[in-house]
Amino acid sequence: MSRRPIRKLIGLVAVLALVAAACGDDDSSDTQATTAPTATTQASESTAAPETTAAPETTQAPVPTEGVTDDTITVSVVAGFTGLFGEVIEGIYVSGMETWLEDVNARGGVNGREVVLKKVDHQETAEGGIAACQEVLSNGSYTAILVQGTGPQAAAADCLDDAGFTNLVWTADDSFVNSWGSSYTIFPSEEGQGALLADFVSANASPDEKVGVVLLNVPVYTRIGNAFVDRATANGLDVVETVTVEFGQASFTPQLIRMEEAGVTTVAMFVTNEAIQIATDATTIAGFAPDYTGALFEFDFVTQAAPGVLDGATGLRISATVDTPEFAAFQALAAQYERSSVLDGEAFLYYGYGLILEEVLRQAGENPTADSLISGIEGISGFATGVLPPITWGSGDLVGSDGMFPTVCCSDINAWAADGPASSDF
Amino acid sequence: MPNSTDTRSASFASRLREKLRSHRPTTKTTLQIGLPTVLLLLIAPITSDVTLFKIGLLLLFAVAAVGLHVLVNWAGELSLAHAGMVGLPALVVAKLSSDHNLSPLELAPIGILIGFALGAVVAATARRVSGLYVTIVTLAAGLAIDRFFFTKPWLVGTGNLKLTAPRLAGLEFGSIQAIYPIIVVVFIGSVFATRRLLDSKLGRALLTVRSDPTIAQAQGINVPAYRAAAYMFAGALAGLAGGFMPLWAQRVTPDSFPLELSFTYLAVVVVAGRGSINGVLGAALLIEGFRQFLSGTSFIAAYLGPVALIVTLTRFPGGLNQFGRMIGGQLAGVVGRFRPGRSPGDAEG
Amino acid sequence: MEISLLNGAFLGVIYGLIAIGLVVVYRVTRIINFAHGEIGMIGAFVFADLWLDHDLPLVLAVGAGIAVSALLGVITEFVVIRPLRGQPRLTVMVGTLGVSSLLLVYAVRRYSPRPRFARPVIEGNGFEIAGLLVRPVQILTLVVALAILALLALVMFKSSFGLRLRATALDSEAAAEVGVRVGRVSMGTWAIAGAIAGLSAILVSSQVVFSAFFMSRLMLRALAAALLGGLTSVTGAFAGGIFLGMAEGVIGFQWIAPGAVEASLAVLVMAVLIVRPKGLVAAEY
Repeated sequence: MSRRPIRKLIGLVAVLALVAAACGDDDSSDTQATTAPTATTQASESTAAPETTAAPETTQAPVPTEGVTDDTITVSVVAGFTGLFGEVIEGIYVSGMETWLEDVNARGGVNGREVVLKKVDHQETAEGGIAACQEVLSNGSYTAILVQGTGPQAAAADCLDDAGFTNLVWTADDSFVNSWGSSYTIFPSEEGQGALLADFVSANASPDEKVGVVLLNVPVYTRIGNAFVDRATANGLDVVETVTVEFGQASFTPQLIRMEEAGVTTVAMFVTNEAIQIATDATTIAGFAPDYTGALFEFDFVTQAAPGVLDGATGLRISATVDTPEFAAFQALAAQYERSSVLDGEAFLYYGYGLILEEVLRQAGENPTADSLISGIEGISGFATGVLPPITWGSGDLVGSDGMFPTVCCSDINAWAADGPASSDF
Repeated sequence: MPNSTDTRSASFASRLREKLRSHRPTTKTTLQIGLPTVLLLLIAPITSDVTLFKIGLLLLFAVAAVGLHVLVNWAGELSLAHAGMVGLPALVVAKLSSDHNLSPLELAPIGILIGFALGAVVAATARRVSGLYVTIVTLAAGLAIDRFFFTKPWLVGTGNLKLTAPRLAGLEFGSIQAIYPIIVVVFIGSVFATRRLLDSKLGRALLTVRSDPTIAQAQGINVPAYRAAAYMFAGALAGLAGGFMPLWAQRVTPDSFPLELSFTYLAVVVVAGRGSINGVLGAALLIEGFRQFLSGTSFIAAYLGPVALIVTLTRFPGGLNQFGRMIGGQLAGVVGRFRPGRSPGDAEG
Repeated sequence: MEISLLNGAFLGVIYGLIAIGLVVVYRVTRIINFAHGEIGMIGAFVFADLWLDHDLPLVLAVGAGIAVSALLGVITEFVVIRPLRGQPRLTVMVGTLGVSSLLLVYAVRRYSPRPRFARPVIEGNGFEIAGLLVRPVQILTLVVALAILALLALVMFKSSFGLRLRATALDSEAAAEVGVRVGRVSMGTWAIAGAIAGLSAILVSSQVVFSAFFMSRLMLRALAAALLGGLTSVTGAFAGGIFLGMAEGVIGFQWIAPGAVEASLAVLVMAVLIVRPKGLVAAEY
């Protein structure tokens, strides 16, 4: 064979592949404006088989629903299962969701079907979130629940939403939540949580309260913190200082000195581990003894690493604290199913995810379809578990809860303690 | 009157143009480019979307790593700002696409320009210092990009950027199957353009600069210009990878380009070792491919990465390229036994 | 402002103390040990385990923590540095990155990535200077840093090991030719640096959030401090640390924009290196 035909052949194959790929997509782009994967989606299935429940009355065989068999129903659980924090997430998942899984299946499953969970990893990156979305779309799941992460989980939920795949996601920022049609959030949006905290702080503030805000220089922290500042200011709170700090900063004293000089009486922190050091550093500034509130540090692992440091701090949590009877019941259940490796507030939260998932699957009916999943979710109203705030979805209302649990530091085991029932009205 | 630096730069540019122009495709070249292209394209129909997506990410990672390979293993320079040089172009393209409803495909070339400009800035800073000081200067630059630019709402929005659908010349690319060939072209194009560059006088000049800048200067090589060119080339390839990242991933967050990623890129090119680009591709597959495809929380998975890095370096300090040359040499020796009169060839290049 | 400067100076003591260990290794091997922070971190965790969880006496627990870090330094030298002798410095540095990554993975799996309680090795009410409460552990850190500087000077200039060390630092091949066992000197250096890392980490663990990552984060500042000090001078590195800490104090107080501290410190370090490529301090020791 001479040289020219080889070159021509290879060139032809490459060009054909490029053109075919681009042209071949024209069909799908008619129905889908974004580059979401074109895997089989529930939306397309639902148009093909709008009423599976009516099938027994006809002579046609029922169209099978993805992820549903006579005996099982499969759900993907999306979280950051790998990386340095992977083992922690794994432990929480095992103690929380697997306790629920064991329990629900021991009770006969949901509507007679055994629940099967498939773990899907978003690798804590946006592109990992997209990969997780594609895996969910192709791994034979009926629905998915996205339980952890910020950017990655938003990317995954958005990708699933583009594909019309109905899923539950713990939270996301307003720009996503307000645009979604198939991704239902369990908790208020990130900005909603910031605003709710501002209402909570405003309700308990004295007239001469001066608030200083500490924002960690990471998008999710600044989103929540800025929403807090906006609402607090609107509520008439005097926000006198807002400073941004860095992840793992070795000292927060320079920023706290500014606060002290501005006469701050309450420091609202939007940080996690850094809260320990902020409160510690503040004690070194003469005459500065503010109250503490904020978001994203109301974890027991934070307060237990620094006993006494955050005593008196208040805040809001998305799940109930470990001093509640519901936690005691969860503890007993986890012990029964030998899933007690991580028995903390976060495992409790994951157990709560299991409970809401169970309700969603139950509401989807005995013959679950894509449509019955949507109607099931939107039919849930005031679903209260004592683990998560009461959850209500409705047609066009894709945010499950607008409330959170007030909490105060700390109990005798240095964990956050309950300070009243979940509420959206402070 | 033009100064000597301008003259040298012009000479450098004209030599580059001349080299690229003088290139005539041969059957060997066609096969070298065509076969991998076709093989990569053939993967698409037989693999799942999720696997294809990860392959695409790996290809873009490799493009950026090839740029750093030229900088480190050919020019003898160093950069710990590489993640920033991939991330900044990616976020600019994503922000422009997101805000102005522009196709990320049309915007992708902007990434090259941004990467090139960043390379020039780092080169200007690194010009004043040498050796390990470059490590810290580039680390500081990477840190500044990460903590300053990657946190600004005018660049990253609320932290999650969603792009508009890619389109070019009236064609919409609405699925990763459709976009994948573009990524393959970007990858193959980058690899072979770099290979041609390194095979040229330019490559040899870079090697001379790396070996002994004084001798290089004595040979009439404009050492500062070549050093700067290496930084700009690395920046351009980083920008190319970054520019196409939003097109491929469709959602971009700064989390995708952490400072630690610069260390990963550096580890990849050191594990690759001096010499061929093949070493980089192997190292990228080993390190990033492992993370993409085999990561997990199991004991072995957690320790395999760092242990593999240490073992590879200590057993083969010259990296995978050294290993490849060793294997190549042994194979040539075996073949030579059956074909007397032929000596094993040097596999480098 | 005065409080910021004072606080920054104590912060700088931490950066300087860690930087001393980096310089000790650099002087002899001419590489930056990216595993320095993690080597110290493991020692600090061993110390905390023994002291807080197993009620071992403080002195024994500190000794054990330092010994573990010194041992890790020796192991790093034996497993990574020695096989890579004669290789490009970049290759060796990436080798230390591998060690750093390995130790971090171990710590995260063994101790969890979450913060844990750290009690200062010396407790008390402290005393107030210009409105800033200085804690006893901060004074102890300063005293220890100065003691390490003095001890290193003694070892370097008054002992035969110091002579061999200086000879190796000057020209390892020539030193080997005149009978210096370069391998032993290198191993001794890594043991000393490891011990300094362990002691630094034990002292620092109660002054910052104590987690598997606490030293990794401080390493960037310590690296900058070592560079400002010229990389080969331990006193320079310590002074560089204090300069950096004070700069951070002032910038953090004056400029609250997101990323301002990190970006301006990065620019400051680059500017200093451009103006004085050999660092702020041109000291031999």
